[in-house]
Parts: sequence; C-alpha cells; structure tokens
Amino acid sequence: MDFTVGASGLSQGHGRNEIFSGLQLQIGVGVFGLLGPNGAGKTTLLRTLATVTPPRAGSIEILGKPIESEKDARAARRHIGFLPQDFGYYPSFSVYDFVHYSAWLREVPSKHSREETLRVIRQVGLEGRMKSRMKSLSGGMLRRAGIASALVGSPRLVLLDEPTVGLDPAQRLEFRDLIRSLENVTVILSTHLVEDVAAICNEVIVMSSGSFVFRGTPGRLSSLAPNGGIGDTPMEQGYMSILESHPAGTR
Amino acid sequence: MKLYWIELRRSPLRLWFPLLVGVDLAALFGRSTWWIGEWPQASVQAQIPAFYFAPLLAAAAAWAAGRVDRHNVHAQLDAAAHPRWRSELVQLSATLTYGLGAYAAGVIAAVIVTLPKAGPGFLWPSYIFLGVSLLITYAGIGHLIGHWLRSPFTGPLISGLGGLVLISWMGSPKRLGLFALSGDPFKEISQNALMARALMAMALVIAAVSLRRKSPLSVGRVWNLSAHRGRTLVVGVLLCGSILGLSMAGPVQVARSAPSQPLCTKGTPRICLWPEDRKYLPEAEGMVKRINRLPRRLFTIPSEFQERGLSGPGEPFSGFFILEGSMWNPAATMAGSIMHASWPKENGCTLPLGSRLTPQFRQASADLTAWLTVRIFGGGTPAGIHGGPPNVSMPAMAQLADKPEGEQMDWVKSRMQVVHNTFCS
Repeated sequence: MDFTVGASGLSQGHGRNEIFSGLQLQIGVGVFGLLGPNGAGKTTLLRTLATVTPPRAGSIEILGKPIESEKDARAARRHIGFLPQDFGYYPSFSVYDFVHYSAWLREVPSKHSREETLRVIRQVGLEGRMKSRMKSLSGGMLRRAGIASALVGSPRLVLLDEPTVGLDPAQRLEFRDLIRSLENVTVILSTHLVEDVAAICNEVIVMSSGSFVFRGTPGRLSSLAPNGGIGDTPMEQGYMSILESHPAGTR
Repeated sequence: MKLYWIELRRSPLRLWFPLLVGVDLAALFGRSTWWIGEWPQASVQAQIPAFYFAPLLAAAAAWAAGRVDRHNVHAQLDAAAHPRWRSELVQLSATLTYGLGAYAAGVIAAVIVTLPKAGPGFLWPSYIFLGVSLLITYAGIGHLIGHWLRSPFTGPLISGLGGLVLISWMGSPKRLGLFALSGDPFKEISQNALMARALMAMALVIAAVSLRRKSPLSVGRVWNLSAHRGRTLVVGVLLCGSILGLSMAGPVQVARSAPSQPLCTKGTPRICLWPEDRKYLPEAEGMVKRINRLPRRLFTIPSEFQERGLSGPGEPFSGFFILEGSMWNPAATMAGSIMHASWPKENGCTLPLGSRLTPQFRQASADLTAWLTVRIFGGGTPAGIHGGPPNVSMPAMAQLADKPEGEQMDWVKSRMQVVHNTFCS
C-alpha cells in the first residue's frame, strides 16, 4: 500500500441528483489541493472520503483497508482529521474543551489527550486563548480552532474543506506554514483560492461538475495558461483554461 | 469520562442546579412535615419532588439534545470514531446528573431529619427508585423530542408542558402509577411494577440515544441499511414491550404482609400499630386512657383497635389509618367501631332496613360518632383537617366535649335513646 486514501468507481448523490460518479482516486503522503468552482462536488467528495457520507456506489480504501461497514468507517476515523466548511461548535465551549472534545471523538487515548490537545492548540497559535469561549473568537481564530480539532490525535489523513475562509493574509501565511510543517500526513484541502494551492500543494486536482478534469502538479497547471488567458497568475490562468474547456454541466 | 465532565460544565442545568435543590427542599418541607420520623412516609415525601423535576428535566434534556442541530455539530459527530450513541449517552447522563443530584439532596435531607425520630429502619429504596425511574423516563422522552424538534423553545416547551400534563393527568398511582402519594406502612411498592417502570426508563434511554433524525450530511444513507433497520426495530420492540410491561405489571402499590409483632399499647383496649408508626404510640396510649373514661354503661368498647392491614390480607380495608400524620382519622374510625359495638342487641333489637332509618336516627348516630371522635382524639378537629359527619358542627362538638361530664352524659343519653328506639321499635 503506497497510498493513504483510494477510491474506485466512487459515486455520490441523493435521489435523482448525481453529484459525481465513477471517480478513481489514489492519494499518498503530501498536500493535495482540490480546486473547483462552487457546486463541483468538492465538499461531497471530502465528506465521502471522511466516511461521513457512505458512497452511493464504488469503494473507498483508507490506509489500505476497504471501508465497507460502519465498523470499518469508525476504525478509519481514528486516523482522519476532518474540518468541514461550516463546522459547528457549542458556543459555551472553551477552545480547550472544543479541541479536547474532538480528541475524545477521535478516540485519542485518555492518557495522551491532554498533552495532545495542548500541542495542537499551540501549533495553531491559540495558546493565549485556550480558556476563551468559542463564541468570543474572531472568524480567523475560529478557523484555527477548527484546524486544531482536525489535527488533534495526529491523524494520517487530514481533510480540510475551505480552511482559509475567514483568515486574513497574515493568518493565511501562518496556515500555509502550519500545513507545510506536517510530516508523513496526507492533507487534502478543498479551496477555490488558487494561490493557496500554488503555495503549499504538491499536487492539484481540479473538479468540475462532479468530474476530475485535471490532476497534476501546480507547475503543470500553470503551464497550461494560455497567452492572454483570464486570471492574474499563470496558475489562475491555467485553472480557468481547464474550467473553460470543461464547462459546467459537461462531464 | 472527560466528555462527561465537559458536558457537566456546559450544561444549562449547572446554573439551575441550586434552584433545583431549592425546589426539591421546598417540595419536601414546604408542603408538610408530619412525615418526619416515619420511614415509609419520609421515603414517599423524598420521592415526590420527582413529580416536579421530571417535566423540568424533560425540557432540559430536549434543549440539550437539540443543540447538535442548532449549532451544526453534526459533522464532528458523524466523523467521530466513537459510535454516536456514546456521545448522546454522555450528554443525557450530564442532564440526568443534575436532576438526580438535586433529587438526591432531598433524599439526604429526608434521611437527616427522619433519622433521629424514626427509630430502627431506613428509607424504603423502592420509593426512591420509583422517583429515579420517573426522572430517567422523562429525561429520555425529552432527549428524544429534542432530536426531532430542534428549536430551543418548541422541544423544551412540548417536553416540559406535555410532561406536566401527562404526569398530572395520568401519572397518579391509580392510573399509570408513575409516582406514589402516600407511604402508609400497610402498602408497599410492587416489585413487578417497579421493574416495569425501570425497564421503561431503560428502553427510553436506549431509544433516546439511538433514534434521531437523519443527519443532513449523510443524505439519509447509512453504511449498513439492514443493520440500521434491525437496530431501529429492536428499539421499537423494546419500547412497545416496556409499555406493555407497564400495563401488565399491576398497581404500583400493593398490600404489605402484616408483621408478626405489631406495636400495641399496654392494657385494654389495645391499639395496635405498624412498627413503622412507632412515633404515634404515645398518642395511641393517650387515646386508650380517654377511651377508658367513656361511660361503659352507655358504650361497649371493643377490646382491640388495629391499624389497617394488621388484620391480615383477608381484610385489607379493616382498621384505621393515620392520615397525614394526625390521629384524628383513627379516632373517627374507633368512634365508628364503638358506636357499632354499642348498638342495642337485647330482645331481638336489630338495625332496621335502610328505608326505615329515620332522619332523627341518622342525625343522632352522626352526633354521637362525632362526639366520640372528639373525646377519643382529645380535642376538636386539628388544623388542616376538614369535614366530618353530615349536619354535624365539629366546633360545637369540641365545645360540648369541654362541658361538665354530667351535661355531656345527658346529651349522650338523649341521642342513645333515639338509637335505641330505632333498633327496638
């Protein structure tokens, strides 16, 4: 097994609405960016890989183990850190409680959970706000607390859905440093901010209308930029060019 | 365990806890204190605050359970390695801890005040467990409703008010028997009924932690549909079974076996009490003295008066019972027994058929019974006790009992003459 997460023939949807179908995926250690416009299916894919939403069809393998039942999913979740796009929290929780609660949910052994909680809180730079209630945090701080909750217990697979939303430029730089500092971890981050992908990802997957329309390095995506294309940077131009060649509604 | 502490720390009941304890102590001591010194009555009184707490706890549980939806914590819970029921159970346990903690404060207070006066014995655990199962049942219902009605107001309101209506309308010992009102020593909690209520509480907790609306993130899909349906079916069967069990378990209170050694006064006549009612023995001895001062040529005194249940299971309703800590009711029952024993029996005198009983006889009989009650009790109707025989003024009877003995005997003789004439005409 040389990949952390794999999927074969993966389909997802509800009712007659098909979000994606037949996706093939194998991702190993490193930082992967999942780019795509709104409605492309990024969030649903991350939820499916987090085993929160069972697939409609196809299979998922995490750390070499196929996920076929609730039991398999729960075992896999010990190694998955998942930060949803609009993650919830109990307002009366302190930052420490919130992260500690996540440690409990991930079944971090009790004897390590306290030090592990403190470690990730320090890692995201919230040690000064440990006792602050979640409802008193700014948007950026909330996002950092969410990232801490995804990282607690040192998961092998980290799924971050729009993790930089709400962060100011300085905080985004800190976030990038944080992600770069993770070792032997597979990080999949969904975003529509091309510059984040350019800065930290080893590989990029562009999703459009439920299909993977590009997979390659950020450099290769930049190299697809046409002359006079839409966008400020070569990577943005490459990204827009991919989307233009796969307009919404086509697969 | 750590999640339990977190849940305890952030439970809304944490702020309400002192108030809950206050409500418990007010319900315990504010209504009456006559039960102090009598273990079964103290047990029932310690259980009664559960009647007030249960709807509050249901509302609090509904509020707490709805938070997952209100604060959008689905994703974290759905992505947890822990099975979902564990986090639900921890949340419900935290709510229950506050409810049961406040309830326990009342139980401890009841022990503290009863211990010095009641003599041997202790609280009857069955009554305390009845209250505990009521609290758990209501918390389970509230938690279940809170999952389905996510609003911070609707769920708690329906759980709390609905729970209050249910317990007031259907919870009495004669209906669903969710609580007991009186701890007379001749009654006890039926073990079957208690077991049925405990099973229902357990079934509701299982339902509360395992049944919930589909998570919006799971798009209604589960990893193993047949296992999910199987679990739902088992919970449904368990719930239906527990309701069936409740309906088949019989009344919550049943007659208790008479003790081999009841507690009796010395001399004749004897007044016998249940050992748990030992605090009334001095009063009973005073009543014996007053009974012995009644004119024997006018009244026939039975040799023994027994508290209800001491005659054995064949006569469950014979004998007196002590109502709300007063010996007034026993005095009235003894007066009735004395009147009955004193009816003329010579020369074929007999009680005529009901249709031939004159109003004069009925009045004379009621007057005499009331007078005997006042004499045996040693005074007029105590405060808090109302009513009496029809067309009889109890204050007038109390005044009569204070008059010189000769005057009272003239009055008694005139009434006895009416009785005699009715029997022997």
